[in-house]
Amino acid sequence: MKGIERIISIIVTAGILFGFWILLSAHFDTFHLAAGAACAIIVALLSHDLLFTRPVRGGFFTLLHFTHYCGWLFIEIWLAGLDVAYRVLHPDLPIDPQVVTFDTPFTDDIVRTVFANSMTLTPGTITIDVSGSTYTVHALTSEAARDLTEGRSIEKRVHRIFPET
Amino acid sequence: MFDPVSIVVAALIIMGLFFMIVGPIGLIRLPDLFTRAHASGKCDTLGQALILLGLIVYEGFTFDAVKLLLLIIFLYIMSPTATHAIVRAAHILKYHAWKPGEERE
Amino acid sequence: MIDLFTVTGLVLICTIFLCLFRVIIGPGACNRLIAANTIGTKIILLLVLVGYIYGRNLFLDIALAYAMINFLATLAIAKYLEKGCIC
Repeated sequence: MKGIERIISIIVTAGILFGFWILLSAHFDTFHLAAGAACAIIVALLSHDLLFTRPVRGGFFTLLHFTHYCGWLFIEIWLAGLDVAYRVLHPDLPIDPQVVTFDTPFTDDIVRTVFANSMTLTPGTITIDVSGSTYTVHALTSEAARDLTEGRSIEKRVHRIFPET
Repeated sequence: MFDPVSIVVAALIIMGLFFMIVGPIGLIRLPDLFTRAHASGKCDTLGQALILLGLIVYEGFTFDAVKLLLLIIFLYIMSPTATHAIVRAAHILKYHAWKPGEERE
Repeated sequence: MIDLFTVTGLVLICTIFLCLFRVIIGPGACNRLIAANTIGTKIILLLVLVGYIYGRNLFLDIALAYAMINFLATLAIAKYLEKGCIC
């Protein structure tokens, strides 16, 4: 990372840190704001490369797709909770757990993290291991396992937010 | 007690409590570590989010409400990651995954 | 409303005891860790509720910090179980 990209990442990091400072302090006098700005800039100079490991990309449409994705994830979280609650409270414990291994085309670290965490939050699946682009997933039912290897609905949705990978 | 805000707050908190109770019951009833991770990772996160959402409605538009919202977002990033870390450790330590018909641990 | 918060806190303490049962009987370190992590996330809620019951919003900051420490502790123990050292 060099030149203008480095400066942009420092400014964005400092902005996020300063917003967090204002939120936690909730004081608006000169002393608190100045101290917050100084701390934010020092921390941003030292550690901006932790937050942005690659140049900042993506525009309005990425944000729009991400918002849409968050809405879908919200519904899926509800369904996941209800599904697990039903299976736990059912007297016969209707589970059929299996471990599934499958490949994905994702190469970027952030996309892999988003995909793994979404899989953990959606009904019936948790991510066990990620090595390269191969995922090992534990599915609570055989339907959830079949959806991962054949339907691939989560994978298509993640592809829609990050189309370049 | 019967104004609409109180009813919404009470409904959200009671729904959250239901999921918070189901999580530990699953932790005890389910047969192995991987299925227990389902109960702790999903039910508990949903229950927490609902109770905190109830407190946000109770609070209204203040700095504390934004802090509670931040806490929900943190929990939703942390909980899957922590579950993933534990399950991965168990996978590497070769914990046995339960199959239907086997004895429960 | 404060009564509801108190009852919620008491029920949460009961669920913590349910989790403690799993921490005691195990079997194995990973089962104990997953139950301990669940207890930690319930403590966060309990801190927020205690803040509302006593009317001190300082507890919210403590809950935020506790959430981060709980997360880091879980990650560190999981890594220790996985590799045998924190490195």
